[in-house]
Amino acid sequence: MDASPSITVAPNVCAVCSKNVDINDSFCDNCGYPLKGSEMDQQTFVVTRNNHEIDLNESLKKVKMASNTLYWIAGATALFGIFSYFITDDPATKISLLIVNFILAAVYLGLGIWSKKKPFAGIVSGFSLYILVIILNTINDPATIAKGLFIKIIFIGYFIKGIKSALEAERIKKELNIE
Amino acid sequence: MNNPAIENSIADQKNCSACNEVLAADSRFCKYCGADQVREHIVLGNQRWVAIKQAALFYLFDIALCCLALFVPAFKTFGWSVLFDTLLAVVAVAFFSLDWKNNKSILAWRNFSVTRLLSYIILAVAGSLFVSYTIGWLNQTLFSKQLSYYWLYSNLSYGKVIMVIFVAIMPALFEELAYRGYLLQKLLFITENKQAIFISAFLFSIMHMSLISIIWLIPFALLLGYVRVKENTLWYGVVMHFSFNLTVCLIEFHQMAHLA
Repeated sequence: MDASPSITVAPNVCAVCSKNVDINDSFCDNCGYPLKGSEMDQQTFVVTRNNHEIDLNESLKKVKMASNTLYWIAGATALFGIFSYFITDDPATKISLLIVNFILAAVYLGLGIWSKKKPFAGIVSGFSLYILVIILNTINDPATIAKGLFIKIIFIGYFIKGIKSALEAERIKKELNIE
Repeated sequence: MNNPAIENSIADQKNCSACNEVLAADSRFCKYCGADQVREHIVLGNQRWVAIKQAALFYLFDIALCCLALFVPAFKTFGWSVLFDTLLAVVAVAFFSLDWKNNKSILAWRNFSVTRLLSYIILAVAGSLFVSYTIGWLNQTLFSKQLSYYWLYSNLSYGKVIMVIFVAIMPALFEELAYRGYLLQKLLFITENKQAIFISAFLFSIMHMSLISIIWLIPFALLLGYVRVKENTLWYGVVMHFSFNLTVCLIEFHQMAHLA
């Protein structure tokens, strides 16, 4: 096992976050590392912090799944627009179906891209739009709710997990003081 | 004697929440006792999830009412539309007052400024004029759909007055109370300002269930959200929303007179 990290670095730099500290400080004022604690205290601190980082990676993975779900929905919506265009006879209806689905697809795509930067806002907005579109389609034709029901449930599951994880990731990032 | 250097250094300090020792203002942990100085903001994780569920419940209520009013043919009469507008208002007031402790501060109008109010009104009216002419044209060319509110009120005596009440006054008050009031306040508790403003604007815009209108609804709602957070009061937004919708009404009256 590695030696305690405090031995390997200069005494005026925190062994965990590398911020400058005063030689008289008992704790690092940036990350809370017990500079003058026992070896046991220091190791416990490092292990806890590593666990938080593992949790963070876990959360970020779920956030990524929700972001990717937005891409999938964007693709499916665009394809559906093209498909409807070719199976609809009325020329005015087919062009407006194409435009509506393309605009929707663009909105999903935009939210998906943005959710890489601001996961919470991107995923919450995309999820709300997705639910609203399902509701509107169901009102228009109740049979549509059963179409692809399994996929819909999986997507909704990814979204809910994504929203929870986005919050969790924000929380851990704050706690670990990383951006 | 005032020494600016000393004043500055005092402003840069705070006391540890556990041992009361003096710390630098940006300290995240106490260097004497190790106590976490930012934990109060962090432990709210669970409460934030509850807040999300409350906001979602509110939004589902609104969606249900809007869908009923928009898509059930039997409800497309003046009487029913009054009922649904009233129900939406009741939902807004109920949710807002259930969280009264956190919401009441935004009903105050501190730092009232006539200049700022007038600038916001001018901005809203200009935006409304621009939107009415460009988007009206777009809607007509793409979807052969004419946006008109007056048909619902044209047969009533005092139709114009009633239309101003239901198109300009009611939405300005209760949509602001619901979206920039209750919903935005919840979101500000859950996440940072920018994300909260965006989500409230996006939810507000898609609630109108008109794809073309989203183009102008999102920027308008972002502006309302921004003003609400910046000024820390609901009222500038209410006045802006009212000016915007009133302009739409006046344009329609003008067009009606022109046609007649």
